[in-house]
Amino acid sequence: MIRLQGLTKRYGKFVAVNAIDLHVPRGELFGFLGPNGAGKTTTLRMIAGILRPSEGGITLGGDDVITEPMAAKARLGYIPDRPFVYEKLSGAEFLRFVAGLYNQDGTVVEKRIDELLELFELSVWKDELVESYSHGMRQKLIISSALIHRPECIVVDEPMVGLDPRGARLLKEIFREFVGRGGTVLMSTHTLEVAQAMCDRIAIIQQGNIVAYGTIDELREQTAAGDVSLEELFLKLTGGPAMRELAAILAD
Amino acid sequence: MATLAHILGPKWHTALARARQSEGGRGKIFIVGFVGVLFWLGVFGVLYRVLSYFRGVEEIGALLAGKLLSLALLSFLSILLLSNVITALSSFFLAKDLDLLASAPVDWLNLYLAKLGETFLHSSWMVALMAVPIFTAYGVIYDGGWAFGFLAITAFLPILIVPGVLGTALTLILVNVFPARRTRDLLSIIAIGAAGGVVLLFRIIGPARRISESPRLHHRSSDSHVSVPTQ
Repeated sequence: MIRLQGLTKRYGKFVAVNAIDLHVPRGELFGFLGPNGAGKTTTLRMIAGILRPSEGGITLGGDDVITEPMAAKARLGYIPDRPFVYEKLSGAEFLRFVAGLYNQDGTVVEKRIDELLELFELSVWKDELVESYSHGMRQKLIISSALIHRPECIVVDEPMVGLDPRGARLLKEIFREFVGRGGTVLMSTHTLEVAQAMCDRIAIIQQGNIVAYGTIDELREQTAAGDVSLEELFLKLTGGPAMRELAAILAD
Repeated sequence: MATLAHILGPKWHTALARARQSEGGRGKIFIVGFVGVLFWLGVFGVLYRVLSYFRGVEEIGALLAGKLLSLALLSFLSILLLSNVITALSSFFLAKDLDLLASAPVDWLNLYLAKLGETFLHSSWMVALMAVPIFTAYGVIYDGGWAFGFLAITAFLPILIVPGVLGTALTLILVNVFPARRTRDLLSIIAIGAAGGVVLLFRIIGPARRISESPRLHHRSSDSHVSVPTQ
């Protein structure tokens, strides 16, 4: 469903993403982990068609994001790490606007809006301006907007930020159900427990390169780490010993 | 495909909601409107007197009025160009809704036109309002008639649109060389520098000093000496 081939992004001499190859098939929830500045968000923004890759290709369901952007983007629901909502629109107006961007309108959309707002417990706030929404409510509205056009795949950057435990649980269930129905989710997160609990496979990215890739068991095998948690694996792959050493020095 | 009107919809909604919600309500709108009308009347009044005087000057009066209009339009053109370059940075590269629009299947031409329209409106409305009393004064003094209004709008529109398109194009080129935020800082400094330069230029040229040094005025001054009664 999502296929990256030699995906590279350069800013001058700096290589933010370095020739990444990745394939996320239908019906898989894929986790994208890495320390700050590793290139996660840049990769996701390229998949969403916001940034143009310096080299390489991206296809979504067989449609190339660069050469067939309209068809590729119609398959995608993108949830950014710092989402934007028009403050002076109501929740329903915002969802109607996003549906319109995907050429959807009429009673089907109205029904879908009601369904999504009900699901995220925002029905009472349907006609209130977004400026009166809390951070968590905005996040729920953004997730609803990514689902409004019934996408085939979802690319999500830090989905749990701002959600209360109930909202986070709901989102996990939604993603699992979405994947169960043949959808694809590519999720970037810092919350390793979430990744361990939810993701079918994981890629760990560091300095623009994928340093490990597979299921948790495969990652353990690759790193010869034994029966350790994802956090231990992550720290081992991304320079954990140096950090622990630093923490020990500071503690002294 | 999402239409241009659909993309611009939230901006329109936002503007209407802001107008409806503005603190102070009708009172504020009345005060702003009143000050605006006063300003218009002020500009109109000054220009009316100047143009009346020009009209009374034989041979060069019309020429002076034409030069004054050219000067005003040229000033508008330069202000609009700089203003569009800076505004285009915000609407094309630093706008918060860019990710939302760019990740949706929105045709690039509609996205460009929406952002161009936004840039154009934000940077031109003040100049367009300023032009109203100026053109009105010319129309009244030179008996333009009803057709004058239509002709003035038709002639003035390209003066608004051309710098909008040029300024946006210049911004697109600049951002390909420098990052957007650095370009904005750079342009802000250039704008302040340009304003300072104009003030400095006026001080150096010293129009008041030049007038007082004018030979014609010296001549008049000696005439007045002569005309003083003597005993």
